[in-house]
Amino acid sequence: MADPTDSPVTGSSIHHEDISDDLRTVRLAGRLDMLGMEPIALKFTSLTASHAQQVLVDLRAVSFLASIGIRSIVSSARALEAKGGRMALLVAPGSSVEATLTSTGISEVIPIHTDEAQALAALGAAG
Amino acid sequence: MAAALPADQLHIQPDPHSLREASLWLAERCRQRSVPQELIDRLDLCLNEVLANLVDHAGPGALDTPVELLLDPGDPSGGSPVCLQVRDGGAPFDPTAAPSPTAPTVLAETGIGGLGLVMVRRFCDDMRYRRINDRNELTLCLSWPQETPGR
Repeated sequence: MADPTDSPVTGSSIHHEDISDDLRTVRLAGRLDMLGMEPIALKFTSLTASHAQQVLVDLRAVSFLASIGIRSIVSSARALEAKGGRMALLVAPGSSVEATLTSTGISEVIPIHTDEAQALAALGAAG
Repeated sequence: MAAALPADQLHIQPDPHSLREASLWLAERCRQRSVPQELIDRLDLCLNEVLANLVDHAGPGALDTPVELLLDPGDPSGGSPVCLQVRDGGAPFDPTAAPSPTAPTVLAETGIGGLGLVMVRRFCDDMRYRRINDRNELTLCLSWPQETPGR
């Protein structure tokens, strides 16, 4: 089910889709800086960290990932893990978002994929 | 000591909306000077993190003082880098001397503080700081890509 939250002012958006009872995809888009995170941060937390599930966060349509966006992702991933769930990230290969996640070491603690089917399979297998 | 830069400058108020204005200004000016997109992206990230840190931590007095941005595109043939200077009226803060957080190895122990500084250090090639006239002056430089193979 799609449940979009779009902000024409900040250009950021969040949509989600439940693949199964415990496997969810959350798609983020736009520029995730202070302005871009403001309208979607709460929705992101509630969609990713509310209960034990496997969550794939699709960042392929994110044009810019600032530390405020990374902090939100890490906080939710930690909360999800504490509940028994797991998060993985989907990025465009060679993108600046991938470089940011690698350079900050986040890719060492949250799995990163470049292929959606493989990412969902890995999460499904983990669940 | 940071050198004076030629005028290609913007004054902004340190707030989230102005971060976008600064980013657009940076991209436009860099493209006019044929700075490669990869360098623009890295400089954009650095500028965003420096300004976001200012908005979050510099205190109410600093938020009333415009931040001055100066861009020097350098010279790709002469080897001088693209440099961006950020001058703010916040409390003295030398990011070159601030400790780096330890690299995360386990999600449960991954901290969320200090990420911005980590990103600035990773994405710029040189970072210099000085305190001058009661203002912080931070200079971020990125080297132009080498055109000759086998550098």
